[in-house]
Formats: sequence, structure tokens, C-alpha cells
Amino acid sequence: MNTASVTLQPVDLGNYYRVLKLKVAADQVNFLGNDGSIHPNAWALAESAYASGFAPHAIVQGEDIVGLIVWGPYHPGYRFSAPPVPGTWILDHLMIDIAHQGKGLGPAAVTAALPLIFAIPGCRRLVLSYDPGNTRAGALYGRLGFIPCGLDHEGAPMMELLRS
Amino acid sequence: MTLPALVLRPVDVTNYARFLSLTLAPGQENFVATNAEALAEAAYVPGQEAAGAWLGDDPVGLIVWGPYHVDGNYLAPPESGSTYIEHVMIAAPFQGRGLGRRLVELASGRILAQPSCRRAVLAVHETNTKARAIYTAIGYRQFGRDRDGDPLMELCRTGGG
Repeated sequence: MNTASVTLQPVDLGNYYRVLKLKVAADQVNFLGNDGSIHPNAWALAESAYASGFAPHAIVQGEDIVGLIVWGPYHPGYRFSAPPVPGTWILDHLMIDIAHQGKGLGPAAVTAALPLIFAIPGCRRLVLSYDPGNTRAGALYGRLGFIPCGLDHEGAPMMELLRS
Repeated sequence: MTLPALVLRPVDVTNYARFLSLTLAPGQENFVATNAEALAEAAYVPGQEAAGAWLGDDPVGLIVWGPYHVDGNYLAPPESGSTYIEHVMIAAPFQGRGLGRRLVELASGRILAQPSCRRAVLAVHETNTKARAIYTAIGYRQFGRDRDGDPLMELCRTGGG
């Protein structure tokens, strides 16, 4: 596979609106665990505004904003009232706009994010969960080195990657 | 009529998810953005403030206000002396009890209590006749239209201002 190249830019006043307007396909609306909208990034950006330490980044290819990736301290079950799991971050949200899917941009975005995440002081483990109906997700993360590590609070499969 | 005991509290990490889950009645989607969109925008536009509306232990609605950028041009400086109500919603199960009016009254009072603010401004969808009637009853008057052609309404501070 060709190695797609993307850069990550923190979401800010200049790009948030374009990030909000990115879309997924109708059969993907339940993959990202929000309100079932074809615009799943609004929920993720709103959550990031209130969850301490969450870092939303626009996925950029050339001049185009093609997706959104969000990571933050791992609170099992989104129980932000309890302290996060020490040393563990979660890859909370990964979406590629429908017009840009199928080009390897998702793995490229995760590959670009990993050095940033593992550079966070104290971070030694990254976890994620994916919708059981999202059959491609497990394989995709497996190729990036993630291994299965159980189920989350909703019974969704979880994977983890340890800092090398 | 006794005013509904509506209380405004800041949206925060302990309650934001409950506001994300509030939804409008079918057919109202074109009148207002979703709460997720409104809270996301409030996170990035400087000066925007989101207040949750509570009836007892129930979150029932959301209102967001901030500096007035004409036609939503957030990259240009805001208009001094004006505060813009960006987002008003009462969730479907709680509509029809006067809560929307009370919500906008409470927020308008807070907005006009800021010493630097002489008017509250909002835009309303042309066909949202219920909302226009509510704003008119509170004292808002149309003064123009926004770039989408929707009526712009204002409530000016009375006395001393």
C-alpha cells in the first residue's frame, strides 16, 4: 500500500467549522458512538471542550481538511468524575470524511498521532474501542500494532498499544 | 401565571453529555443547530458562553451567547456594545410550557446586566413563528436581516443606558 501522508493540526477558530461539516456515510453513523449524525465531529468537539486533556486535531492532506482525530486521558466508561487510568490514554475519535475514505488516510492519521501521544509525559499505553459492526477497524488497528484487550463498558471490543 | 422555576447553570464536565443528548421535536431541525454543534462552536469562538437550563434535576434546554460578529464572521472584530444569542433550545418533551420564553428572559437579563452591553441581538428563522412571537413578547424588535435573509431582532437596555 502506498503510504498516504497527512499532517495533524490542533482544531482552532480557523478550522473548526470545516471540521464540523465533515461527513461519514449513512451506514457509518453508528461507528463513532454519538448521536447517529452524518456529522459525527460536533459531538466529539463538544466533548473535547469539557473533558480535561482531550486534544482534537484536524487531519490535513495538502490543502484539505479530511478528518478528525481526538485523544485524551482514559476514563473507563467516560466517567470523568473519577481519575483517569494512570499512564493510559484513549484514541477517542477517528473519522475520515466520506469523500476521502479508502486512501489509507485513517492509518496515516494514527501513525502521525502516535509520536504526539507517546510524547505526553507519563503516557505509556494507548487504548481504543471500536463498534463491533465496524469490521475494518480491528484489522486496521492490528496492522498498526494494536492488540485486543477486552471489551469496554458497552461491550465494544478494545485494543491497546504499548509505548515501544 | 407563576413563572417556571427555570435555573441557568454553566455547562461543565459533569453535565455536558446530558445537554448533548437533548433533542428538538421533528420538523424543528432546520430552525436551530444541534446542541453538539452549538457547544463545539462555543469551544472555539472566543467569548461564547453556554448555559444549561434546568428544571429541578432535569436539563431541559440550552442557550449560548457571545460577542456579536455581524453575519457570523468570527474572524472580524465583534460589534462593541452588542451581545448575540447564538443558540436557544428547549428539548421536545419540555416544550409548550413557557420555558423557552423564560430561558430567553433569564439570559437577556444576564446579558444586559453586563456594563458594556447595551443590546442583545438574535436571529430567528423566517418561518419559526412561535419563536418570533416569544421574542416579541419579551420586547425584542426586528431591526434588520442577516446574510441568510433571516430577521435580526434586538432588545435594548432601558433606562440610563
